[in-house]
Parts: sequence; structure tokens; C-alpha cells
Amino acid sequence: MSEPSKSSTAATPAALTTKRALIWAGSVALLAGVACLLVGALTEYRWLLDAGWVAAGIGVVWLLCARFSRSEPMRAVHKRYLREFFPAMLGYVVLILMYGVLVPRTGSLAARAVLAILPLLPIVLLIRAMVRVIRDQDELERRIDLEAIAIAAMSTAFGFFSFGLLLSAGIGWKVAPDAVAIWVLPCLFGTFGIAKLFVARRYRNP
Amino acid sequence: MNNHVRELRGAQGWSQADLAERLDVSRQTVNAIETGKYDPSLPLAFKIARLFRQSIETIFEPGTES
Repeated sequence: MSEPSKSSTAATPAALTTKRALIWAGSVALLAGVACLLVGALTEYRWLLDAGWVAAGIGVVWLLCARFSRSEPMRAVHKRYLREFFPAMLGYVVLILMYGVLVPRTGSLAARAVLAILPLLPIVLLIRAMVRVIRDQDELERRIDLEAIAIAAMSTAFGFFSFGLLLSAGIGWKVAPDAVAIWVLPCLFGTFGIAKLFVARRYRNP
Repeated sequence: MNNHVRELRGAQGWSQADLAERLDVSRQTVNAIETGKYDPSLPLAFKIARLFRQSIETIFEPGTES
């Protein structure tokens, strides 16, 4: 019987674990969020306040997920996902920052439209990374992710719909339409992370 | 569904991580199968049976609800 290869789950002190990756990513997102909040509060770039809250929120969710993750070596399929996810996400953040800085200084409508559409390019790479990891991970991991995505998609969509009904019912809150649009994605990711924690617990020992 | 994966793994002296690596799945998946929280797909059940050189019905048995 052949011995398993040592590359995918060999435990070494420096092995990349899911917990360690989440702690790193969460800390970076939280620090970036705090930096955006500080710069947004002290400069003319007020939109950085929204970006700061989004990044800090994602960071907190990742750190929360790390709290409940196990320290096991990350499988090759998930390492590949990180290698594909983070450059694409970095490109997205850079293009969003370019949008925020350049749009107020750009007179041309066509140039502003291009700046608004450009961030969709790294999103194509992000979608590719997500589809590849869902397709290539094992069947239980796929089931957990798909259940969590279903819960996150439905609760975010209907949560925002109910929020819209509350606003139109005239409960007195004043929310800018662009702020509502900006918060959809962080809410989806955050709900996915929390839903995944609960779904994964169903398959663990009591 | 009940199964004898834990006993078979123990007889080989493998840890859950060892078995997971041989099956190319996560340790969490091996644990969920052993504790009966997850029933593997037919391809994975065949892979387990082939690894332990036993038939599927020797390793997996219908539970009381079946």
C-alpha cells in the first residue's frame, strides 16, 4: 500500500493552518479598516469611513472564525485558494481606492464609468478561485460551504428586503442608498462566515 | 448508517489524519464518517473499501432507520 505524500497534511511547527491564515487575514483587514477610518476622519476622503467599517467588519468576522477553527495543516486545495484569492482581492482594493481618489478629479463621464467598472476585472478572478475551491475540495467540505452559502444568500437577500420595507414604512431611519448597496457584500461574507461555523459544528463531535 | 471505519483504521495503526491523507479528504470528513454524522458518497465509500480491501457492505451497514 502506497504511503501518502508528505506535502498536503504533514504537520510541522511552521505549517500553514486555517486558524493561522484566518488570524493573519483578520488582523490585516482589521488594521486596514482602522487605518481607513483614521484617514477618512482626518482628510477630505470621507468615503474611506465606509471602506474602513467594511474592512474592519470583515476582519472581526475572520478573527471570530479563527477563534472556532482548529489548528490543522491546511490542505493543498485551500492553499491554492488563498494564492488565488488574495492577489485578486488586493487588485480589487487597489482599483476601489483608485476609484475613490480619481473620480472626484475626473471630469469625463466615460472615464468615471471606466473607473467604476474596472474593479469587476479582479472579481472575475475571485469567482474563478471560489468555483475552483468548491469544485476541488472534498465532498463534506463542499456540502458545508454550499449549505452556508445558501443560508448567507437567503438571509442577506431577505434581510435587506425587510430592511427596505422598514425604511419605506417610515420608521424614521435615514440611510443613504449608496450605503445600503455598499453593505450588501460585507453582510453576505459575514453571514457566510457565521453560517459556516454553525453548519460545520453539525459534523463535529459533541 | 453504521460503519466500521474507526476499527479498521485502528487495526492499521493509522491516525485520522493518516487515513484522510490516503483518501485525499480532510480529517474533519474522516471524523464525521467515523462518528456517523456524515454518510460518504458511493465513490468515497468505494475508495474506503478498496483501501481496506473489503467490500462496501462489510464496512457500511444500514442504520436502524433504514
